[in-house]
Amino acid sequence: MAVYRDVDVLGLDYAKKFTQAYKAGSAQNKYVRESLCEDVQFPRVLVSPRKTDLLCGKRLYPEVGYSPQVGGMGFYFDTTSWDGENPVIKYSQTELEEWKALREFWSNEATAAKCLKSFSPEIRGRLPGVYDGGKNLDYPAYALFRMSGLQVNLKKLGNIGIGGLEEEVTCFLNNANDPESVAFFQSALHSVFRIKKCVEYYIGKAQELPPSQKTEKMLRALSGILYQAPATFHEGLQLVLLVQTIAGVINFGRLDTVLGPLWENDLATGRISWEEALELMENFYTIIEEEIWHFDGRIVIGGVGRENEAAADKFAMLAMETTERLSLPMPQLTLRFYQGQNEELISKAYDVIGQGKTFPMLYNDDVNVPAVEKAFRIDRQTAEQYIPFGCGEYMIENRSCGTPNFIINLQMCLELAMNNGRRIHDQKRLAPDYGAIANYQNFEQLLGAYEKTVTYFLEVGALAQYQIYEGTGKECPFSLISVLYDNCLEKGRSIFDGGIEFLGGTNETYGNNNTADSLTAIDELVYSQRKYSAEELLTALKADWQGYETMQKAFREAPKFGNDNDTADRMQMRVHDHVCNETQGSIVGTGLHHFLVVIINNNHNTLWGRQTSASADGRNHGDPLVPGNSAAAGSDRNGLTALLNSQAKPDPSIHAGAVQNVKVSSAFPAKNKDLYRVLFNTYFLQGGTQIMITTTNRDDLIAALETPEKYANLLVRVGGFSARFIDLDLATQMEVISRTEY
Amino acid sequence: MSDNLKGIISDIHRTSVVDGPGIRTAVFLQGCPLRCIWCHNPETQQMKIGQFGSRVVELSEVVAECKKDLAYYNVSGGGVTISGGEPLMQPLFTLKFLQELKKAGIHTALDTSGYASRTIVEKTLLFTDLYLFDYKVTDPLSHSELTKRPLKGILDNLEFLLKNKASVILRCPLVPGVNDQEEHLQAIAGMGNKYPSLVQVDILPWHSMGNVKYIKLGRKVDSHLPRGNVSKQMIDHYRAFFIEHGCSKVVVRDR
Repeated sequence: MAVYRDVDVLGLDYAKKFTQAYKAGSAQNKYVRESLCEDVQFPRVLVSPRKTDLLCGKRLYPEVGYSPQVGGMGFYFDTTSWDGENPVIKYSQTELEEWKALREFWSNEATAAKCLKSFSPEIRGRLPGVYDGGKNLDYPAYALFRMSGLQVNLKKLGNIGIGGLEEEVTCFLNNANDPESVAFFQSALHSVFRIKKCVEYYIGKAQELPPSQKTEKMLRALSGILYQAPATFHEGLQLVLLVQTIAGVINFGRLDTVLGPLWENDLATGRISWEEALELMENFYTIIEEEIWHFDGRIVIGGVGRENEAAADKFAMLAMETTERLSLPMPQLTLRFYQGQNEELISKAYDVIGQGKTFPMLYNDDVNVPAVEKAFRIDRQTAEQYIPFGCGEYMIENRSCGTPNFIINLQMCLELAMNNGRRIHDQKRLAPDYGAIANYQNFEQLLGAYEKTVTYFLEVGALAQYQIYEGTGKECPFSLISVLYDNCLEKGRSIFDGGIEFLGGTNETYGNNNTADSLTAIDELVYSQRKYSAEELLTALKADWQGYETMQKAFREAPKFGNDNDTADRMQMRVHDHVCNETQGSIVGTGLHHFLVVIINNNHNTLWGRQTSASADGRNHGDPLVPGNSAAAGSDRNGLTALLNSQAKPDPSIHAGAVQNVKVSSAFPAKNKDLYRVLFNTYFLQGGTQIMITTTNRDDLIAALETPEKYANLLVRVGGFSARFIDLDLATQMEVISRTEY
Repeated sequence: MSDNLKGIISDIHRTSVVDGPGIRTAVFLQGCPLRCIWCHNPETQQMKIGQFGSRVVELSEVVAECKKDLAYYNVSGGGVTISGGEPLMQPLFTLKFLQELKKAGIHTALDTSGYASRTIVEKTLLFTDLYLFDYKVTDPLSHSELTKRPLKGILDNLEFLLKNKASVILRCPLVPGVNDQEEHLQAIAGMGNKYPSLVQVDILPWHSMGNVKYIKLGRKVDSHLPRGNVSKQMIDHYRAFFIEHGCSKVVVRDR
């Protein structure tokens, strides 16, 4: 995992300077303020290259700073890393007082704090919990402050380079009339100058390195991009890395369309060899792995809607080869594919996955493009530019922002609906009282109460998302990002101030399949067969099944999602349809273009599971929730095709991404090379949207717990991210082990 | 379909890649007349319900489950394998099952010990695309000792199937020190060469994965069985033997 902030990163003087710039800028306008603050940040936050590097582009996120997501949203102040085991380096009493004063200033001025304050009373009433990074997920729903899911137009950047951007923005500035646009264009122009300043800074830093062939190449690439569009693969890679770093954007989108032509040209002219290109890519990957947290750092290759597909495919092959050579949990290489695409790509992908690299993740365009078209309500051509980012949310490349600023735990909603709005294990009141399971006359009444509980929270989800955009738009122009987002320059407005084409967002739902399995079990055992009464069930759940083991077994053995069982899968689809449709419908009156469910997973399934009481699917209090659209651990016992069939059932055209994790024994692809491909190909033909495959074996995972030093390269897909197994916390390790291995 | 026709099964394995060609669903029927000392599915031997998930099922229910993976069968060249136990211990169920599968256009394989009456074996011919036919021991006396049933009828059935141009894969479990004598290996090689309609000969080296089931059943693992799995060297030895004897049809599986 990237170390992105250290204790006292740039010192008190920096923090004071940044704060002064903020204050001075606030006296004028948000554009000037941003420029002044960015000028304090850059190039100061940039990290110098090592002599082993070929590329430059690393930055720090100090305690106070400006960024869309990392460090904090917009203007942020964060000294949480000082607490606990990281005491602040020695400061005098006066200096500590100064830090304290800064903290107080920023507690009101940080963009997230301002957004939180601007929330309507309705939102604050329904979302009383303040999200703390997932450490303590005590409530059923939260608003999150971040601008993740930004993908800038790297293709435009690659085509016209820094010089071209400068010309373009100047042209808009010269023709602008209204003061707002003028202010935006001026700050946009500054942001382009800032890239140049950073390139020059890095040229200086590269010159300080001991002279070598590598340094020579680095210098040549940096000089090459200073004024002109990149002409070589090395220059293209350098420009992309640097601009992403300065912009604070941490997913890369369709890099094959950006870098493919440059790489193809280098190959044709013999400028660099395959091996040299790999060396560059390895450096690129290593920097991403060191810099970007594991939930992001997506590179997308393949798929419909690419110009110059042949060239793009060449980059795709190079990217997969790099993944194969390096056993790194990053970048999150993502292959989109369709019927008729160059077969080499998918074939190489299966090879690499079969070796346990967890990448590339596979996305089926034949299903996903029409689904995106419908879910986002956009035309086919636009839908072709969908991008899975982060843990698997979709957005439209440089035309939307897919950030999930709302998360909800559906299983917790169900327990509230069963228990008068109170959580079962501690009786904490968290939702309106729609009744208790003992009072419902039939299953439909219970389901109705559950749906009302979910809707109670969803009613403020889209609103919160919109208000966060609005608040951010008022405070932060994100000028560089705006320059590289379609429409912003044309409209003369920054991204969240009317510039973005599709202002949408996503709702991360958790415990979907626990909810469905719980409902199936209740329907069968309580209402249909009347084997247990509602009171008995509630008592058993309150006791966390202690003393009710036979009953727990019966609830565990009820039909479960992931077995291609019609009863269980129908319930799953009902839960899915409800939350997806309600989420989609909740945009009415908010100003959002779309607001869609994403069924993804970081490790919040494990973290939120701790606060979620025992559930009727047989799960104990504290156990992890089901990750993404998977089956509950160990409950899928009917074979891989059964799991895949179940996973292909929920409607893909009403959400913005669902991750399907499967764990396959490494022996399977090794011994059945063809069948393994045929199996997943058939799943895709049957309507499968995507898959993330971990190939490993249980014995290795267990051995890695004992002797982690021997398993440094063992990669697993946790949910929406990959990790070295040995780096995970024990709870997550156990969750991964408990999944069915095929 | 005779909807009320019932059978006893021990398990259904979907996505099997070891019970015949392609991606298959393997349906394991309960009950077996043989008592092979190395049996790795001892829980399927007795016609009992409730142990290890064995249960009464309706034919229609099992057929419906099998149809769910039709797309996978078609693309991979797979289908359904009826296994056991000994599926011909429930002849009516198995015959009807095969028939229903053929009606649905599904490739059928019958995994059998061959210990069944000729009349039944003959009836399967029409609906069985492939036989996975066991050939376990060559010496008739040892066969009776190790499987508790005579060899003769089994061999006659095998010959009958081959004469009738059935596709047959011979399945030969090899247990070191128990049934891997040179004569037996030579006989296996001989079979491969003797019957041109034999599709393939599978050598299945013994593994100890079944041992835990004996413990769960409260039974003892036979003391003649090896302690551990068949070694890699032994597998290489088997491979070398069949190459030496010019048997191109023999495939020695990994454990």
